Amino acid sequence: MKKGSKMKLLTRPEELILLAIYRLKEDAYCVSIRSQVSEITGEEWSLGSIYMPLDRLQKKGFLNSYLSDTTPERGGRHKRIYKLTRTGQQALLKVHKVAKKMWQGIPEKLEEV
Amino acid sequence: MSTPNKLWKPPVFAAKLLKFILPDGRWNTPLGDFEEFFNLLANEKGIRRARLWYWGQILRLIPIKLINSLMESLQMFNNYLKVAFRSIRRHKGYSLINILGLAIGLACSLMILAWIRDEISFDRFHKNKDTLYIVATHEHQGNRTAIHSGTPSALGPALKTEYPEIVNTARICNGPHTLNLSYGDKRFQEEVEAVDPSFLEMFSFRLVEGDAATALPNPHSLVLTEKMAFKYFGTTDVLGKTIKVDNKYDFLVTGVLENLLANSSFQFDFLFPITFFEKYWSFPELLNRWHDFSFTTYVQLEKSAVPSKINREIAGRIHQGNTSFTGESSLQLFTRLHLYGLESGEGRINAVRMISLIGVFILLIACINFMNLTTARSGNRAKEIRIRKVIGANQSDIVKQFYAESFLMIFISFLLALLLVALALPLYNDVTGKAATISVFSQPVLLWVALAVVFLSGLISGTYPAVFMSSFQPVKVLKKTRSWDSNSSFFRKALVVLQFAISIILIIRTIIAFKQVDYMQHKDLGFNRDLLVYTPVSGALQQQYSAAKQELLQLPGISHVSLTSRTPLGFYSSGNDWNWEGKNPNINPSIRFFCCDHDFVKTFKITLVQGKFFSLELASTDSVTAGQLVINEEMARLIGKDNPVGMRLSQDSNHFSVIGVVNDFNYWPLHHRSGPLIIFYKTFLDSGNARYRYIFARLEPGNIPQTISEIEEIIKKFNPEFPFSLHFLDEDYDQLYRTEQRSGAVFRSFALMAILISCLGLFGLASYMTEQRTKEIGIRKVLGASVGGVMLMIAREFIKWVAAANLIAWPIAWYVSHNWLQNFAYRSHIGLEVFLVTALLSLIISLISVVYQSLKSASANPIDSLRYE
Repeated sequence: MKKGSKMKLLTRPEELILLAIYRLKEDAYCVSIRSQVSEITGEEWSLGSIYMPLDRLQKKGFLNSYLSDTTPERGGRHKRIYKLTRTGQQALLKVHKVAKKMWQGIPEKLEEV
Repeated sequence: MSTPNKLWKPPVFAAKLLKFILPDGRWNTPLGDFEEFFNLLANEKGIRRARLWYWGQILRLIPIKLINSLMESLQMFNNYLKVAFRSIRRHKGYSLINILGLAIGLACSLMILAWIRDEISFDRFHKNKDTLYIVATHEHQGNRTAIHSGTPSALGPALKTEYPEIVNTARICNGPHTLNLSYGDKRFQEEVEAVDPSFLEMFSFRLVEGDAATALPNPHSLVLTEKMAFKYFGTTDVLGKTIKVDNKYDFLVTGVLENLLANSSFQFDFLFPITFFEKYWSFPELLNRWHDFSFTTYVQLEKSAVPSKINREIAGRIHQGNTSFTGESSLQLFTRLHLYGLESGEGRINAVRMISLIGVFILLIACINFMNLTTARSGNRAKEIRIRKVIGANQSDIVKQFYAESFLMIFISFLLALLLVALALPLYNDVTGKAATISVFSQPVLLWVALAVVFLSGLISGTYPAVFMSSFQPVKVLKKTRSWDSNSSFFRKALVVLQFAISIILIIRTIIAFKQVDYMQHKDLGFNRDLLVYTPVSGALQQQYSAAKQELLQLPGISHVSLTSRTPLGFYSSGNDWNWEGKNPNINPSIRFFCCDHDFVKTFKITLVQGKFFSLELASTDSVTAGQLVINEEMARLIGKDNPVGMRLSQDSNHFSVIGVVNDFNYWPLHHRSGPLIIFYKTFLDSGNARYRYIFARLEPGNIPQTISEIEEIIKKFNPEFPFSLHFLDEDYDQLYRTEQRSGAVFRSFALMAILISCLGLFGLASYMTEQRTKEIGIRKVLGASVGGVMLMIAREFIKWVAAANLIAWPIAWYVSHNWLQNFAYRSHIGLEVFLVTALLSLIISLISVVYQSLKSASANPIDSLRYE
């Protein structure tokens, strides 16, 4: 691997958020992403901890966003819906590949340390 | 995502806050997200939990927001700085005047700060400073009460033993006492202080050698300063060494003091035990007397004691010892003495106040300069402001920008001011008589105050330009009409008038202070102090002064010689226990006295008003016991008789008759009227206290150095063992007004600076105004105006301002000076000429500062001035 290219690897939260967005499809906005991630990890994620990676991912070009409809529980404010871009998808696939390779030959139950 | 069953609203205020905190233009969606999540939480975990969460989010966002906005403003600040630097560089002349004016102002106020701090710090180094008091005596003299520090010698010990609140007392025998000291072949005449041993325990003078508690254990021990230890012994390791006094008494050195700090009211080199003087003057009861008030008593109180409660007891105690005492006593905090003195107008506080005021004025003048020059040039900056506003700057952004600019200028000025202070320090020390080093200015307190001053002046001088310029309406500026400038130019003129008014007040006050000191130095004192010299009588001379006098009279350069017990400035404070027929028992002022021989009147050129003076015939008869004396007019007034000659005065069981009255010659500093005086012939009461101690000689004008060396020859012949010293009496008198001279010099220097800064501002303003009128002047010249006419036109404006400033300043200056003169019993006259001279001076100074610019523009070729567009 070339030096510096490993920087492109997603962090775990980024990976989780991208996956959540992919799953949520047309309904991927901050609050729904948060509940999705919280549900799967079983941990409470704050809104802030979603915003920051979202911002970063969008800057990196992994995500697109557009404003959508309003709902009363939002106080009549727009949602910002996120969508994976092509590079976003590639980045996801890449971490998945790397993870799979790394896990190769490693038993489900790790030896005791 | 669960569907909410109820709609909740986050707290309104919190939502607004959140909207405010979130980045501009991007708050819409996050706010929606927050609200949705709030709903979620409220439905799942209750509204309280949700609200808590909402507030928690805000709390966490605030620091982030703060940091962000700081970064943002730093970026803007960077831009402001850049623009400020550019405008400084583009207008070098104005910037120089601006920065220089501010720097001089700041440097002056820094020095004034140091000066004030030094004055305030006087005597604060004593550990017991909060419990040390001086006993003041209040004496009713007719319709006024005099307060002085004279107390009877017996008071101190009595107070210490009888009053539990009084921890310790120390007496000083009011001096000066001149002794001849010698060690080996080193002989010098020294002024010494006569104190109780407890003096060193009460006051914190550090001893390099010896112990404060055991120093001065007996009448033949002494304490000296390091400086003196080096002078006599060449080392400070001198404990146990012996110094000879008057070649007669051996004194053991029992302590070496660290050299005294400059900010101590006490300045001495030798401390002698007071008990020694009983023997030295063969005056056995010297320290146990209630009648003469010539000792200063210091008292150290219990921490909890209230001095005002003890005042009456002290007066009562004096009265108990001396029934003729009708005055009052009070304890005055020792540390207050330097600033406030005993009587109003005595201490340094007036000078401190005056000079602080000058400091404020100087800063104000410098700030006014800054404001004027900045706003005057606002026209040139209008374009920049317009563009900033069109691009989207708020008024507050422009305000910020101009503050940044002002503070930048002030910061540069401050650095320059520090440099100026460092350079001017020798001058400062010279003028103030202090020994400041640059380290004075590194004291934290001073630095903080200086920073506060800098900040304040930034605020003052920055606010007007900032507010004024930020209020420009882009449209008006765009139209390029000058209407918006007329208000500000009126304000500017008012400021210039104010500036000049302040300067004029300072000039007048300075001239009057100068006149007063000059008046005091040259006032007819009732005797002629010029060419009057004296030498102390000591050693073998004491037995032979008559012979010495005869020889001195032979000298061609000497017209008269007289022997006296004191110099006029050291007249002994007598008791107030004099009695005469018809005396008002309620008025008991202390009466000073001294002794002299029959040539006193001729030598001093004093006028005999009534009766006759002592004569040689009196000396040949045994008239001393017959008890004759001469009084001054003030004493005659006190007695209340038109012709007091022949009256009998008595003290205790001694009776005297008045044979003559002399005029009220001044023997005190002219702050006060000289009081009643009694003159004795030869010795008085046989006490050594009043023997002849000085030979006065009146010199003939001519070859004075030769006469002096001849005098030295004769005195040395009679008294070979002691060093010879000769003093001029007028020098002693000049010394009295050193404080006034010093303050006057400080005053003058800073007043000069104030005027200089005003002129700098005027120069800047003049050059700006002529620049604005370049075209007008050009057209005028084309139409036939002469150079003189144009100059007059420009100067007329300034003359108007200066005239207005004079009119405003005069009444204030008169009032201030009049108030100051109340501190003196003898005042110089505030004449109209002072005001006229000042007016002329201010006019000339202001014209000088505008003449260059007006000449430049008036003599310019109109072709150049009309072609510039």
